[in-house]
Amino acid sequence: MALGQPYLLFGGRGEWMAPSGSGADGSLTLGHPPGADAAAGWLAGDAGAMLARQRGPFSLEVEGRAWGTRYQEETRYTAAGLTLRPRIELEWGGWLLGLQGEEVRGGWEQEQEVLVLPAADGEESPPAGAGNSDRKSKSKGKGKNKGGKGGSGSDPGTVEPGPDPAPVLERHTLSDDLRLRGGSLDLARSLGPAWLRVTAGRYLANNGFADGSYSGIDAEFGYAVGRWAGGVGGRWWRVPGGRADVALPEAGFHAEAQLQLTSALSAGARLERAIRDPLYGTPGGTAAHLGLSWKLGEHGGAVRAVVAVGRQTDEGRRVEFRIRAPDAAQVALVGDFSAWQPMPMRERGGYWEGEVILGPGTHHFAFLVDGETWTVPPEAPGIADDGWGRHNASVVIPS
Amino acid sequence: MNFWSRRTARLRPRLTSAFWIFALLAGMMGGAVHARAQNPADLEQIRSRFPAAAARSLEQTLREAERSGLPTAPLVAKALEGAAKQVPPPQVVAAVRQLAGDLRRARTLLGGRAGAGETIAAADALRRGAPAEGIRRLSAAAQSGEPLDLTVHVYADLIAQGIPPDAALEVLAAWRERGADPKLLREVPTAVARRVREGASPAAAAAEVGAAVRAGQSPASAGKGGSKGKGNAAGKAQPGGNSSQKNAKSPKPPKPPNSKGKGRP
Repeated sequence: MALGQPYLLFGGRGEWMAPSGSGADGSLTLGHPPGADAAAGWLAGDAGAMLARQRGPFSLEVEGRAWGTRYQEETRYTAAGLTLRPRIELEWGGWLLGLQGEEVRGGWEQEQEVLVLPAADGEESPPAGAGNSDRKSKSKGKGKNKGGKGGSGSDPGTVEPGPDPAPVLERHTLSDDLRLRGGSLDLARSLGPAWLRVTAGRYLANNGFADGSYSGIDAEFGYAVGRWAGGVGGRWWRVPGGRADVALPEAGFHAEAQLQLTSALSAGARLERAIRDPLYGTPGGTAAHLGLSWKLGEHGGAVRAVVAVGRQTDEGRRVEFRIRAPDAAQVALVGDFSAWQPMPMRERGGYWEGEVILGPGTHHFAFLVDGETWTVPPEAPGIADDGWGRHNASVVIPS
Repeated sequence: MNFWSRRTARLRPRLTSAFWIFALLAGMMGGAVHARAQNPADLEQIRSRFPAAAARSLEQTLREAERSGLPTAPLVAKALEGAAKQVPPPQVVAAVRQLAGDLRRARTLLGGRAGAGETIAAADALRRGAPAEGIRRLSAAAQSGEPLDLTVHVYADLIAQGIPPDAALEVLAAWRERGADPKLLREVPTAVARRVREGASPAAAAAEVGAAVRAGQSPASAGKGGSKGKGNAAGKAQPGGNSSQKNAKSPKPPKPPNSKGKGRP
């Protein structure tokens, strides 16, 4: 198993996700072979947004995504697609059964510089290497070759004796539709710290590189203990073999391990034999990855928490309290920590906020609105009956 | 005066003095114990906010709790809460006595090694409806350095959300396996509540959050996007996808040309 040329990868990813599962994300990755010249690297990026809705066991995701790669300063590949992904998920006896459909509609375009070898009779011959790659052979008759620029300056209608004309670089653009339609059935189960999933799928793809039917089965097993997580998986698929009536079997596998070093830093290793991807059409291959991932930060999210436990100070832990009461004239925080004396809160955009330094222990509290109404938001932690027909919330500060 | 009368008559002043000295010492010791049991500031607040009869009842409950080795701070706080909420004093006295009973039961449940913080949290959890057996199992399986009071608090939160006790214990077991980070633990009830709002059954919601935690992810990631299903976050079935990354969508580069100039894509 030859791994070939090593690459260094450096990238970043940003993601925003609403509690419903809808969200947007984007990433940028720079890859470069060590020791090679600056032009040998590639830059890839993608950006997408997804709308997700769920009702009981049914869910629907609508996703729009664009992605692209610039390779060796000569090749530029861009694609965009809209995906519809309905899913139904049922639980039975500890097993989770999922049935998922997927429909992708979009397009791709690739620009690259190719050598054009003028023929001896003065006619232009096809670009060097034409027909030698999956992509070009699949785009024959489909792709729209927009031609290129450049040229030798010779009169194409004149044949002059002498040395062979030099090849010239021309810029060619290929484009085509991007389509994927299919579905999968998956069965998953947690077994304590381990989990198991088997997936069977079938897709019809039009990606301009390897169009046709993809069908097969995946099996994965994972295990997590302490700060370690790992998994192995295998897959066996039949993928288009270059002719409409030919399907080739491809087998793949992966083995990976991840160590959570801190809450923000993790290290991972992965060995993989990938098979041809039906959406991108890129051929499979073997790869080994070693990497570090650093999470720069995490936003609090769309839902503003009633209690947010913050950083440690000399006197205790800083805790923020927040309640939405846009119609209130005054709101006070009251709790064990104030001997149940009202602590006025400050209003900000319909929310009332206050901050307290709390020592270790369980602290009960409630909010007093306009000096007479005791209230606790339903999303507050530790809600309990106070024994007198009202409710308190509580927050625990560990020692 | 007979022999005994003469002897006791000579001893009587000494006995009388000894008696008073002993009584004085006993009173001082008892008073000292009394003063150590109750913070004067707490007593002052109780006396200032309650009628004399209710204040005496509350002080007696505090003394009994202290003699039993129970934490008294939550009892004082409960009394002050009742005063703030203008609850009739007899009801405050009853509530404080009930809380003392809850603390006693919690301490018995946790065993003799439990500290005040764990005892208070367990009493809270029992009052909120958490099953005693679940609290006992959590305590028995607690790891060294684990904030057991927070663990019990979150357990009670999950029970209050309708999560079956075993499912709640399973989520907490997953959290322990991944390093028992308190910050992560606080996110569990919020994540479970969100999944339930989205239509998942309480048991399924707990299972998803537990699976997300086991996979090293935030509890908030449970059930989102391509992370449906238990275990691994990547739910996509497309072959060749990177199943170790959630929603891995980074594009694969085109097959590289061998060198510049040859032009083979």
